[in-house]
Amino acid sequence: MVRSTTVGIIANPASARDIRRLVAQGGSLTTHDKVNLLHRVLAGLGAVGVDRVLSMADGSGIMSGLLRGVGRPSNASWPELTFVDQPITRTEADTSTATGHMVEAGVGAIVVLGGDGTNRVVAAHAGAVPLVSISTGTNNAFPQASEATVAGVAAGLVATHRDCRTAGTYRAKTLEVVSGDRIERALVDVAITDVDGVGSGAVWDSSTLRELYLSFAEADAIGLSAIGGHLRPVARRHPEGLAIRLGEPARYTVHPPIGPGLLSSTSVHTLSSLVAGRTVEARAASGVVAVDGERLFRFGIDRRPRITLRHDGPVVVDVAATLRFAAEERLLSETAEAAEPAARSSSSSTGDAKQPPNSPDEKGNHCEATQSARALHRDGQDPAVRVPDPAGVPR
Amino acid sequence: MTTTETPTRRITTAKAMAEAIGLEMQADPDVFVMGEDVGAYGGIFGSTTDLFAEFGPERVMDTPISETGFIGAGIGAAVEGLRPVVELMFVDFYGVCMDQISNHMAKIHYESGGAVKVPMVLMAATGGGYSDAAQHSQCLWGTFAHLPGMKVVVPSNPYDAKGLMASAIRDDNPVIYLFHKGAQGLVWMEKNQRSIAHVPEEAFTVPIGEAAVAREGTDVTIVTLSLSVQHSLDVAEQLEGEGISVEVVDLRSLVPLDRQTVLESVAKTGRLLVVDEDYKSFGVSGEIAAIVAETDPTMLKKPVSRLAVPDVPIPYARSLEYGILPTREKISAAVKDLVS
Amino acid sequence: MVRIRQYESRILQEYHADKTPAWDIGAGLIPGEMHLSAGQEPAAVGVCAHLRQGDAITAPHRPHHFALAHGVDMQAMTAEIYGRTTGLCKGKGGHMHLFDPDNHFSCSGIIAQGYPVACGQALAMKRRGTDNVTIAVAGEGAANQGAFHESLNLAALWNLPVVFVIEDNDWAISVPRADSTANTSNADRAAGYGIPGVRVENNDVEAVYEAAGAAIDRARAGEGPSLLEVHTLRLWGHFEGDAQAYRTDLETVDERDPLPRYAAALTASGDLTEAQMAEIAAAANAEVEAAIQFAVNSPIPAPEDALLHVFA
Repeated sequence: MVRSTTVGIIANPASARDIRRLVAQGGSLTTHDKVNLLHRVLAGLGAVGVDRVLSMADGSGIMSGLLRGVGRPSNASWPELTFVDQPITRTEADTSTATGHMVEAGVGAIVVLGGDGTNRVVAAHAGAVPLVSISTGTNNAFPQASEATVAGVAAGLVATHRDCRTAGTYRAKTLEVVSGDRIERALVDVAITDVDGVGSGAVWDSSTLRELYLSFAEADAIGLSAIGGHLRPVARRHPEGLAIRLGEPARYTVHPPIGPGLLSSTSVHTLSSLVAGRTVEARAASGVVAVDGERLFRFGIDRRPRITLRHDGPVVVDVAATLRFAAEERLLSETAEAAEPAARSSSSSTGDAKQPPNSPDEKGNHCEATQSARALHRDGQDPAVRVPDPAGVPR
Repeated sequence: MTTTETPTRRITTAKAMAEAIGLEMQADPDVFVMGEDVGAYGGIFGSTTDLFAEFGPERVMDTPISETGFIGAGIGAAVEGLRPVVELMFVDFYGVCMDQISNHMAKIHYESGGAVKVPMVLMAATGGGYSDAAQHSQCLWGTFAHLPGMKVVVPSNPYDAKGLMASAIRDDNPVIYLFHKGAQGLVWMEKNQRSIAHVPEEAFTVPIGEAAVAREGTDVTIVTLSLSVQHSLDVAEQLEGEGISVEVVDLRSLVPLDRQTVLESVAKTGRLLVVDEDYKSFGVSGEIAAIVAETDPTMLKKPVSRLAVPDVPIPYARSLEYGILPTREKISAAVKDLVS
Repeated sequence: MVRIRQYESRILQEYHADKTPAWDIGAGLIPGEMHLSAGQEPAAVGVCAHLRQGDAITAPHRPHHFALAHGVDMQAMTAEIYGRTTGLCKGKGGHMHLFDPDNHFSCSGIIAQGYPVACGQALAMKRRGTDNVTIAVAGEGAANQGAFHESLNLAALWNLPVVFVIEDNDWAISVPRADSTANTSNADRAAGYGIPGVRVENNDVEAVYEAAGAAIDRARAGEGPSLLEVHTLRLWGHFEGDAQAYRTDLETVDERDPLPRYAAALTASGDLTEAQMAEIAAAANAEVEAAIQFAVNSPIPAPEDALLHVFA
């Protein structure tokens, strides 16, 4: 069965322009660069048969930049480009509104251009729609590096092909933070700081940190989670998280990159595991809570934050795993009828499996490897379908 | 000229300018130079020769080709009390930076009710005669003199070039300093011998706003400026043999204008020829004629004669260009016409 | 911000008070064009809070908020706007040409043309070895001027202590940015010159304060220029008398007014009480009324004084 497949695109026009360009070596990814990345995503989506894209509207040049590309011969393979009909507020509400519309429209995946902050907002509204995150922010632990064309292909495969979705996605962890009647969700980190106010949002001075709660901590990360990553790495799919108390008396000192080009000595007092579902209360009586690197609100003793690690985060596309699976399943190749014998002998001589263990046929797919991906890699999957959790993270 | 100086020390107008700037830079650390190719090159027309070697890149700053940017920066530096000497390579390039010149450099003092001073020199090369055509051959001094708020000086020889530069740098007002390429004494351009002359080594000033009687005479007054002074002096020498006595008034400054020297000379000779390499209409020649007309037209024995570029862009071909420039031949003819 | 708003509100009233019945731009106690800065207070306050003696500002045609935030004397400034002899410029400059050399404050009615001048002031500060900085202010419409680009290049090239501030109020008179500018973020344009560019959204004074602080600290430390774009709000017309028929965002203007929004946030967080708010308003009111009285009671310049001050 062939039906229309739509992929959503959220590109935060404001990402990468924050104060980290001043206080650290934040990059200069311009609107033109973001539009360029989206051109690549569109090419990737179009190549694997996505026929419609629903993109966030903005008044900051991304929508108009994309529209300028429509109709050019070089973009003939693009999916049809549509935009969410939404008011433009230039706040994170634009992202959440657009995400909501996309979920309602039944998109098969959402490609997110932004940093941890953007992904956090999308994740909060994306439900079970898989996310492909391309890093364009200045504080990026959540998006994993992938080239935009490749990310577009992966998003398209996940959206059009149920088994790619099964093999290529996992359910991320989140950190829920509750303070009074305010509830926020972090994808990577919750920081308790003693900065005076919310200000420009960003956190770049590790001496202001008092407590840090991490859903995962990679040793090669950039951002606050690198503090944990340098001490006790915790994988994205590991069931536990990490809680850190900073300051004196220090049992450890680390020098992690907490911003681009910004490595700062950080004193760590204690380190403990965060167990999913078990709520911990912040020790500080007052301060400012930063979620995924952005200061969000102040609290006093009456609204001391409570943090809980949960396994109900967004469904995340592992681009590498998706592509690897698709290649093994022959979803990325076609074998010409006439060339069949030669190909066969060639593949046997190199050890390349003509019929790999996870071939489409074995899996009972609708796909035939001899036909074009664009025509056939639609499995008519229902976007609302509940996603299996290949990571096996307990709920 | 004093006897202690070597009478053989003769330098070009370009060298005289550079020497003046160098002496002011030695005397006052707030003086510095900015412009295109003013550094190692020494100025396309030699106005900053050797300054880079003496003062280095901090005080002799090569700029990008960005006239609005660096002229504006000169204004800002002057507002903060420095004394920048800024070169606009060709005066013809005024079009890309006139807002900074006219709306800012020239107006800030007035707009501020006298509270802010802009002690800045903007020097630029002017004039044609070497087939550089319409965009690199203009004089335009009348344009700057027309707009209020900036002094305009136009030296014709090495001595005045040095003395006027020193005065311009020390002046608390913006001064436009327009030097003629043909009067610089450049080795790569046809030059009048008057472009190389004796100039004292030490610092001295020529006051801004004082015209000079470059040559005394009784029959005709030529009021002129810049390279045309050299031509007029040549003509005066030649006509002396023909029994015509020509007085040559070198204006030296257009703003302020020395009306008195002009009027005294015209009162003496009764005949006025204005020679101007700038465009004829609405310019210097009309202004000089108006001064006489407003003061006492009866001092004229004959109507005023004007020899200037006849309101056409400067053409390229040598025949065409010399067809419109105020050459010696045309000056001579105009003088003879006045005394006939 | 309250002080600036009170000032602009009263100038607005005084400006219009005597231009009726047939509205004549040249009539009244305050004649001429009037560009008021209501709604743009966060940009000025957030930046100027970091400035000290010797720091300079070049402001554009809409300068009052930066002048007041930078410490320009309100009475002398008001007298200038009224065209009186006691004015900053003795009545020669008017509201678009305010000069206060003691505070190194100037403005220009030609957009973006204050940028090169700011570079020169910064050059002077650098040459003299001070840690002073210059703030160059322009609107988003001005960023399409060559002077903007030439200045960014010069400042980057010479590592000048200047912070370029772009007030993006969405409207270049009547033209929205989308219709005038191929690059929608001036923070991005900074990247073309290899200097940091930051954009602050939502007219948020605390965010402006923090970003400006970082930019100014950087400049003072000799790390060179940067650009700060503030997404702000033109609460009123481009000039007074502008009917704004072109404006498509009028219905949300009031709700985006940064003053009530910030007051509400401060009240909610317990940082500001109603009593303090009233006290601030009363002080602003008293200062503004005194300035207007000073201006109104000051002498009108004699016509012949027009001939003074062409040259020093």
